[in-house]
Amino acid sequence: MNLEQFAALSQVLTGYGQEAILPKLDTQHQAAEYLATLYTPGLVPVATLQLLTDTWNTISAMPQPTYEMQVKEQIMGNTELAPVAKNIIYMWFLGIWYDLTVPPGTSPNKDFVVSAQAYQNSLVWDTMGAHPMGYSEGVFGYWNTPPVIPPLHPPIQ
Amino acid sequence: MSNTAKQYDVIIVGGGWAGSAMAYRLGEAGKKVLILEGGIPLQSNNREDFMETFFLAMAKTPEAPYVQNYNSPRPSVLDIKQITHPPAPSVDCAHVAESIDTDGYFIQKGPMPFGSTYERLAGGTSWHWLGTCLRLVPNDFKMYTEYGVGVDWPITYDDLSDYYDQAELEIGVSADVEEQTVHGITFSEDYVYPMKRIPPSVLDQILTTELKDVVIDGNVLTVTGTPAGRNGESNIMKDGTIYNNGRRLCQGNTNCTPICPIQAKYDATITLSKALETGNVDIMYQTVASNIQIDATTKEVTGIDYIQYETRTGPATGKGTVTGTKYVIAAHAIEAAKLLLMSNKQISTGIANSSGQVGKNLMDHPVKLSWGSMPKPVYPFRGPLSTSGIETTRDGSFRSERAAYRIEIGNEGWNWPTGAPYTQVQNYVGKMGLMGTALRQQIITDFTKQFRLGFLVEQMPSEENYIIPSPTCSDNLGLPRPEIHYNLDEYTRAGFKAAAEATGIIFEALDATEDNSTPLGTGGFFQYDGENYYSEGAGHVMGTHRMGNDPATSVTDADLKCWDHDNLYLVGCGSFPTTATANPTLTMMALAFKSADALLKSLA
Repeated sequence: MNLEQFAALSQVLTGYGQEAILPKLDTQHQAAEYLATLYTPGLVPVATLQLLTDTWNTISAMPQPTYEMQVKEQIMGNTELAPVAKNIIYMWFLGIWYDLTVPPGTSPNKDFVVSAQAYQNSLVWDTMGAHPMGYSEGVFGYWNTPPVIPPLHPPIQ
Repeated sequence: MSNTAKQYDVIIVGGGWAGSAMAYRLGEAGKKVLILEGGIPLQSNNREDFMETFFLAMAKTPEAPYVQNYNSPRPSVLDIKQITHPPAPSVDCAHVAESIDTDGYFIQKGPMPFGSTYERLAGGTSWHWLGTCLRLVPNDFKMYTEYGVGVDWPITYDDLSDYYDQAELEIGVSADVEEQTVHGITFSEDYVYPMKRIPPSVLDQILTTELKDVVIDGNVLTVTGTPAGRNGESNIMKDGTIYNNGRRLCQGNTNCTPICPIQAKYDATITLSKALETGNVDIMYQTVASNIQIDATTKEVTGIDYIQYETRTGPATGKGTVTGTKYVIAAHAIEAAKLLLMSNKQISTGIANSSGQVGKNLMDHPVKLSWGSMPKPVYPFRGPLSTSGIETTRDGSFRSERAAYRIEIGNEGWNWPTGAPYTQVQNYVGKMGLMGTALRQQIITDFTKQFRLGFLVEQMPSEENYIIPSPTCSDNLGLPRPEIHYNLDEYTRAGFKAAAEATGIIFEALDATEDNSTPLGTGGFFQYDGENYYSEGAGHVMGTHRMGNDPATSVTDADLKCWDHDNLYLVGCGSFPTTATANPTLTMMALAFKSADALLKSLA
């Protein structure tokens, strides 16, 4: 899977648009970092990554309005691909890679924060109108008034 | 190595909050001071390094930014577990690092685990304090006289009032005087805090309106701004100057604990640096006090033995003894008691302990968390962790029957009790299979309505709650680890019950829905009156070398000078005879300044 394919799939999985996932002026290279993490030897079987790529290529050849439904069915609904897709969502929203070799919540595990920058860019905070704890770009007193919640893209039909 | 070349007026063990405050006052007055600090040196890049460690930590606990140091170890909240009977077999203490990593630094003997932690490095636990700077209320100093429980302090509110002023100036506290006059708290004429009250959060404002007519046990639930050791807008001081401490305004990083990224919140490294800048204060880092020497005839302290190391896992690399005229132990309530009890081994009760009270009366503010969803968005995870609280519940005739509490209003949603947002997002994606816009919508709907209250419940002194040096388990330098015996008594448990009842009344008034899941830190489980409760540590460790008027029942006098040893002072929250309900740091610093005055007089 190349960067453009990964970014396109990530948009469907996260509900965030191109400007958040792979902006034209890409100073953070966040998508590239997550793609590299996905392909880190030992994290996901090569065959699974190939199946994910093939499946996405099939979906992306269809009309764009069907992407969301197709990803739900063919990727989130596929027992081999769903854990990987969910981890892509976790990376984007939480900055975390969860260990796929043990059941969720198992201890010990090899869960990890992808990078300090990944934490700072994690999207769950942006979604709710907040900021990562410990990484605020607000000014003094901003908390005194409600935030602007970033608008949602209309769900793709 | 022995530091005998220079004559010191005062040796201080511990470069944390109380030690730094003492060193600064003494250094300012021209006294020669040497600090022994067990932890790593204070360096300009500490904060950046700590932030990087924090960002990469999976569990963003109070300890997350600070790497464990097996030569000066600290406890971690991740080690607070329910204690089984009989106790589960533990890792062999001979393997120090493995034992500390697996079972924790404390040797917890129960019946309940002690839930609070601290840091052992320059600046001490101030690295991850919340920033709350409440004064005690006058009745907090006379619990026995007023309510027939606990003991009285050897001082009154009025004895401490000027020192509160000094502590608030040194910290740089943001608060409104008028708001703080709760339950008889008074201020000197024309007093102003250095900075104006920190602006209230959206949640604070809603609670202020919705709870203003709610009465519990005769007290109206008035929401007030919490005095904060974080930078707000400057006030014009009594002398006409505009207050300015040179640090940045709070940016609302919502990360006071475990670390403020921009030092808008005071920490003790600020006062420690000022102490060092006086030119009269020296400090030896990576130098752990291991014994207090006593002259058998005069009973005076004659020196402090220490052990040094170079790396946090490596062996001891040196040892020696430092001497001065006066000595101050400012090593944290648990570490100070441990040092006293393990010193001068020919006296089996340790030193400063003719009362038998050293290490006893270990107390905290056990916290009852209540959390749920508001009917409308309150936008948590923004601003300082807490900007307001309810202080009116801190006193009343009910204190003869049950513990009082204060209510801290949290701005970090369900982060403390449930690990939000991580656990919920895992649920949305992992279990519910949400993705895309539906996932974002779920996050908005749920998270923007989250809020939590923390009831800080008071605890009374008890000989059954104590810390001793472990006879079997040591740290990497061979020094004993703290063995802790701890429980919550009827008085405090009744306070939890009252807090649960208050939760019901408050949530009904707010039309809020309580979340009744089990909180993450389940170590503090107990049952009372047929109900289940969970107690969290507040990090407010008190009582282990309490002050008093009677040498038979207390360790120090009101100047924090040991009854048994004329040249030894014990500062820090261990001095507190009772806990009251206010976060203790401001009072600890006020007491340290009071003690510094007395020490200076004795040197004159």
